[in-house]
Amino acid sequence: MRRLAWVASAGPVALLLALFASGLMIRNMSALLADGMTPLAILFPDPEITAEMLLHYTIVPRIVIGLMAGASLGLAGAILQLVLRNPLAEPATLGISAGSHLLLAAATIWFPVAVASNREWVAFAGAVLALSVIMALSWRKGLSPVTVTLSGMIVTLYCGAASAILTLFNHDLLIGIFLWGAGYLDQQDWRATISFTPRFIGLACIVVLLVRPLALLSLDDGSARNLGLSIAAWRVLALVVASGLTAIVTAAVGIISFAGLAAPAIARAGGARTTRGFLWWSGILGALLLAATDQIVLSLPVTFRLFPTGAITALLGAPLLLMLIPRLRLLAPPRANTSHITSLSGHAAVFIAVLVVLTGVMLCMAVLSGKADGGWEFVSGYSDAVIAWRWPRALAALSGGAMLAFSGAILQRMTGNPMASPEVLGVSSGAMLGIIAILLLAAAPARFELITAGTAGAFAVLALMLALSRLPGFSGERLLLIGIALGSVSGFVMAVLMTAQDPRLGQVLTWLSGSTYAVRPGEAILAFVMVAFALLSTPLLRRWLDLLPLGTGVARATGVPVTLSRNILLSLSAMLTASATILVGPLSFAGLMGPHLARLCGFQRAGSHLLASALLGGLILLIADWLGRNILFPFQIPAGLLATVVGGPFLLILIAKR
Amino acid sequence: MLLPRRAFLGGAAATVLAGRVRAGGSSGVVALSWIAAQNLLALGVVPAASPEIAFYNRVVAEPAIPAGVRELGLRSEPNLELVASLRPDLLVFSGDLMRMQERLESIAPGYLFDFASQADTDRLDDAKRAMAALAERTGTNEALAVFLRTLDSGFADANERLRGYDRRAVFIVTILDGRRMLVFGKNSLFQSVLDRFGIENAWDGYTSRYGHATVSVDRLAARPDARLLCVGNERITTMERLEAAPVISSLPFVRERRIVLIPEVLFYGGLPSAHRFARLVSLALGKEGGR
Repeated sequence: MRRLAWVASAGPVALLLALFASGLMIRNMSALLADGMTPLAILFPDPEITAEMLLHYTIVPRIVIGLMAGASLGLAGAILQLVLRNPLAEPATLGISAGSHLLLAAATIWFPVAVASNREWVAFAGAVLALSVIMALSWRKGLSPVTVTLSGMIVTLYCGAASAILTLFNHDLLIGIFLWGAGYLDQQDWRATISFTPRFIGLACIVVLLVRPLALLSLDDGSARNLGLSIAAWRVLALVVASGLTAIVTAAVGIISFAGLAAPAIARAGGARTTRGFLWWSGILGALLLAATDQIVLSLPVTFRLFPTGAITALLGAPLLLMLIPRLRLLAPPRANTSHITSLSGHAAVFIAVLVVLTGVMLCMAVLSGKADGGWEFVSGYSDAVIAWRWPRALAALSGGAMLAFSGAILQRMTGNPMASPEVLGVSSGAMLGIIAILLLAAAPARFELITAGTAGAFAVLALMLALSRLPGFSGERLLLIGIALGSVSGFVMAVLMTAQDPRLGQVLTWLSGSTYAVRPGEAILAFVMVAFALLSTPLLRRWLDLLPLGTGVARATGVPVTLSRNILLSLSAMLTASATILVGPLSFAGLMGPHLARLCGFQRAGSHLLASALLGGLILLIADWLGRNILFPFQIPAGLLATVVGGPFLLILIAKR
Repeated sequence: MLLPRRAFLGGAAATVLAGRVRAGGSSGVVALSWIAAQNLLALGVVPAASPEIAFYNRVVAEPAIPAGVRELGLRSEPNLELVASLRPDLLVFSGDLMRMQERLESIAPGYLFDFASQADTDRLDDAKRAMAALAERTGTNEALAVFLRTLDSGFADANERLRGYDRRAVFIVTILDGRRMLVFGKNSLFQSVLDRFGIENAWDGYTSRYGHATVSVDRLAARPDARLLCVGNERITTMERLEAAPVISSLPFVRERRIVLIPEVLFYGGLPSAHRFARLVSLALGKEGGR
């Protein structure tokens, strides 16, 4: 009876997907089957006939691997969502695919020969390494969902930034890795499929054994413990299986995001209530989703058939997610536990004064000192010309970091979610898409056009967010989901850029990695003025930010205009993000790190938290910009990337120690 | 290497005439992109500084950047603090730094050197026009004349070598990994050069404004009669991986070994790249003619 219930629920969706996928499959295959070819040619191709060879060695294995990869991702996503009790969790969130991508990229540079024959194993080692880091970091907290999620997200950012640095300095060498990472399903023989199958079957068998423990794990910790489960042990096992499933997919076809998020979401929205039903429907839907998407890619006109399927999944998944968000039944959301942090109340002012002085000193250092031909130098005779190039960059880095961190602090307080940052909100993605569009459409856009396009993109996203947040069912965490959907669209654009191999790619890449290279003096000053205004508005925002997180009821009772204050806060945050994105690229690490560090330093009340976040975020990017301009002189490492790569581990350790 | 050296010596003479030589042999000109450096060197102007020199010498190769030229860092972000401290007389930059033009000109007069265009023009003509304008700006018209003579004789030599070629159409590709490759067609410098020798390009599909497209290797099956010309794929592993793919190894041109490898040539380069490509292609394809 229970069985029938879940068959009936998600069944229609799966049936529709299956019909759609097989219809496209038959169409695409019959386009290849020339006259006189028998269906037997699929199994036994004639080496003399190219069409038969193509069918047997490219089309059929592609379908098979698509189905298996989709099923693996769906299962992995379902397991992660159950274990972490977080509907945002998907294989990519944990940093597993990013970890394997990074290790493969690094190994290709340093051990090209060894990698050529061991790609799968190198990728798998990277996945396991990323998982171990996350485990080590969250062990102390008993693998609490919030810590695991947060660590996973930072590991993802970190691996992404490290890969980006490698790419920046080797982008011609690494093109193969890029293409692998973009998530192409196309095959040239059966080898990948043959090595994938036994691993997939083995892991699927373990999932069968895990169904009961997973059902208990998705209850709250107390009841699971009462039922006699060693919570940590089962969680680790489940996470290892999920990462194993992700790793085999990443090794075989690259990073395919979103299938792991979309399949469980559809399963849940379709009403799969039991754990067993949820898991299997996630697997089935994942397989069908990926196979159907891939057939869509194959049906595209020849020019566009090159788009990586992984990116198309993300693009198609975004609107689907937007439709699903209001229907999503949120599991008990993990919350940041900050109760034991001692409040600074009395010392806050002193601490902020120290930060201000520190920032001032650092700004002078960044402008006056730097490397020249002979080594480190302080300003001397000729240096006036040098200073003219340095100060706009230093000031822009400081302002950009401060704006991102200020906006991150607002978002984290408003949503009560420690994962909130401008990039997660999607405003950076909007600005980035606008700027990329103008870079590629106009032959050589002027700076002014870039700014206009970026602002337009950011505000388009902002308008969408504001419109959606007025609808019932779009609040808090759900708003973050919209941001992730938009982020996946910008991931798609990047993948297409990579594929196109445009020589202008280097320029887009450096900007995306958070470089202050092209900042003009006027822009830097304007940004600084904006930061000053934001900081001055803190006393006005303070009350709202202290009261809004306590819930709509409390806020209303104390006389806070809920809708108006939310709109103002969101607009401010979006505006600051857009400006920062134009200055230092869409890198959000300052937006995540600033507020976190401020909280860890003990800034609890909204007012001092906002100020300290902005100062710390600005300081991080300022130092990163200064180091990035000098450590590899005359080569320059973009500030955003350096901040992530150097600051990431530091932040991870702080989180783990907390 | 004979021809480029001749060009280089001719150019060097012109540089002396132009009175631009400073201590150390380099000029007061700074190249901010590879194509700028390449064309300046071909005109005999040794830039004072240039981005990613070691990489340039490996990938662009001709004309080589001599020792003593300052490294400027990444092509996408040449170090402007360093440029400013060198106190140059002229900055030669390309399209991707155009958004910085005003600020660059606060250091020294700037000159935009670029020839990528949206129009369906012949890339060799575009490159020739751009180089002539650069020669005008740097006062190296004599060096340009020498270089163009070298180019003409290089093309003539190449044509001579290709006389016995069997006129098979070629796919010009760079294999990226076992599954995909860049293919060069309409609008590409490579195509422009092959047009001069009357060799048909087997790829007639879509290409970008730089004349390239990324395609999966099974698209080669569309022209089984063609020959495969791989640019910059001398690393043997890539070829092995390609040939291990059953579809590819079943294609006639792999079975009959109609595959030719030549070293790296900058696909968006100017006349010096065309010159290098003509020589390498004619040497490689000339040998294939007998079959």
